[in-house]
Amino acid sequence: MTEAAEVRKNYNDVEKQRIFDGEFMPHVDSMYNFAYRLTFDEDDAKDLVQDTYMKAFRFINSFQEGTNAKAWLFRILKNSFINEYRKKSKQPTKVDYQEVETFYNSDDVDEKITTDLRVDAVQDMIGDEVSNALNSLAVDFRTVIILCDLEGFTYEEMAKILDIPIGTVRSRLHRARNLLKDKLKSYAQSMGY
Amino acid sequence: MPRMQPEEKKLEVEECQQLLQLIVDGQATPEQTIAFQEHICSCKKCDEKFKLDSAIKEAIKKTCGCHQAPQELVSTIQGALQNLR
Repeated sequence: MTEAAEVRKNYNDVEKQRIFDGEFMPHVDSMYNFAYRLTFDEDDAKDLVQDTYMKAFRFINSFQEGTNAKAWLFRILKNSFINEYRKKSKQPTKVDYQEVETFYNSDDVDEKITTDLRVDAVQDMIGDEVSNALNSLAVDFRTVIILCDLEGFTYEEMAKILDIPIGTVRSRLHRARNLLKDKLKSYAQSMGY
Repeated sequence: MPRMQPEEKKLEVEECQQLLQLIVDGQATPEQTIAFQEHICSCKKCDEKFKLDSAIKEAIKKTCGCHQAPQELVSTIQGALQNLR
């Protein structure tokens, strides 16, 4: 694979505007939803998205027209969140992966969650249950589910957005889903399943 | 089309668990998809896991994408862009 992304362009003002309006702005809703689910605060989410778009414009010569603008923007947003917003976020942001992985890598746990949670229970969760369960996950686990299930990024795109190997994307996704199932199982029990 | 040998059709449960994620996320190859489909015909456990994971993915799509960008955000971005120039 060639590293086409390394080649810098030199767009003129008209081209910059066309790329910005045509390739970047259509993703504003997805960007805002992602930012909101990272920060849980409307003002922070707006600031994060605006900040991302300003950076995107400033570094627009690093963007190759015809490549995946949405993945490029999500990567900037994720980095902005880590560098600036994560520090001041009130949510617990760091997760002890070792502790979580030790517990959730166990096949017994996986087995138990799966057998206890039924498809019809999930299908009956039409309110805020799934959203609340997702929001309750640590930010790194929440992020992979949003990128994969909500935004439809491939593992390869997620690896680039998150700066981690594809294998780590897959294992983190697997663990995130087990954690989510655990939360959903609690909701299902409270619903009488 | 090469004919599959009987032993190639058999998929271990552990292998199937890894395939399941690829299938649910639509990132399996056609060959992997066929192997998985053949496996779940005879493995109730994997079939149930597949249905559950698919249902959860569907539920996330339906219920977690609701935060649309506020109208003023677009105009704020466009205004800030003018100042950047």
